Amino acid sequence: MTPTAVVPSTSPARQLVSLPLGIALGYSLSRIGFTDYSEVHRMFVFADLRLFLVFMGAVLVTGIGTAALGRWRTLPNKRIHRGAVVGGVLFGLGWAIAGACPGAALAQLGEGKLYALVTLVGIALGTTAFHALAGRFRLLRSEDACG
Amino acid sequence: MERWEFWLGALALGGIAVATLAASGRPLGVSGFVAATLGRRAAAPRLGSALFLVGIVVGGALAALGSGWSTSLADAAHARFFGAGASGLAALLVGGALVGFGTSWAGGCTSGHGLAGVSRVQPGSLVATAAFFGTAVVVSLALAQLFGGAA
Repeated sequence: MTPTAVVPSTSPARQLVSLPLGIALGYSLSRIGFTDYSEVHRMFVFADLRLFLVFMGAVLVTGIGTAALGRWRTLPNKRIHRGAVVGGVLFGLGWAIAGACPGAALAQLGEGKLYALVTLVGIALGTTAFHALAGRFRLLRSEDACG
Repeated sequence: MERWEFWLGALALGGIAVATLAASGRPLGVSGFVAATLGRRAAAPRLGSALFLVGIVVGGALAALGSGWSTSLADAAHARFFGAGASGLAALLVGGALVGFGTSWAGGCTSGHGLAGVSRVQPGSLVATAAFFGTAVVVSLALAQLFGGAA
């Protein structure tokens, strides 16, 4: 398998398709329950395994679809680096406290949960702070920062 | 809001991840879209990233419309842990900042690492996903122990 036809499109017209894809994701996150603090909490304390099952099933579907598209080996590799561990721990701490990953916080706002605005401000601040500091401190360099 | 069965949720999330890859040539990664929208990462086009984020908000609204859309200023379960007033909002702000900082450093979040990366058995994604799920489990168990559960 050769990495041909892998050049991502950046034309504005092609980028418009992101809107319906985002709508589908927001709708799904809400209907699944990833936007509900107590539901996410019940997953993390193993009181309700439904969200875990959703996640594991989604991983399976994504893997099969990626392979079907012939992209299994043509996407950038994600190597283990310091940030995968420490950044992952910080993210997990934040997810347990705020009850939302980045996508879920946006869907919460759409649902009318206005407090998600505070979560989103925090996410924007954290993202901006990281990139500002990463340019200055080698400790924070994540070589394959992607997605 | 009536919840989907787990298999429907799995098909939807997986289908969206695959459709995003097919349409844009890039794997799904919401934290990457956030960074690109903020002008912090050039690896994803800014317009498409911003549109994706706007779409998520619209999608959440469409889901809520089906069950009678209303606004809320606090989450009852979250308030049991962190309070309903300023302390609850402070927890959301600090938690959000940790999410933003942590996903940026890890190079991905639930979608980029957890879905896209883990589905391709990428070592960095497996480690990051174990780190964030593991930490969230430990912290949530501690919160439940201290405050008696959110449910």
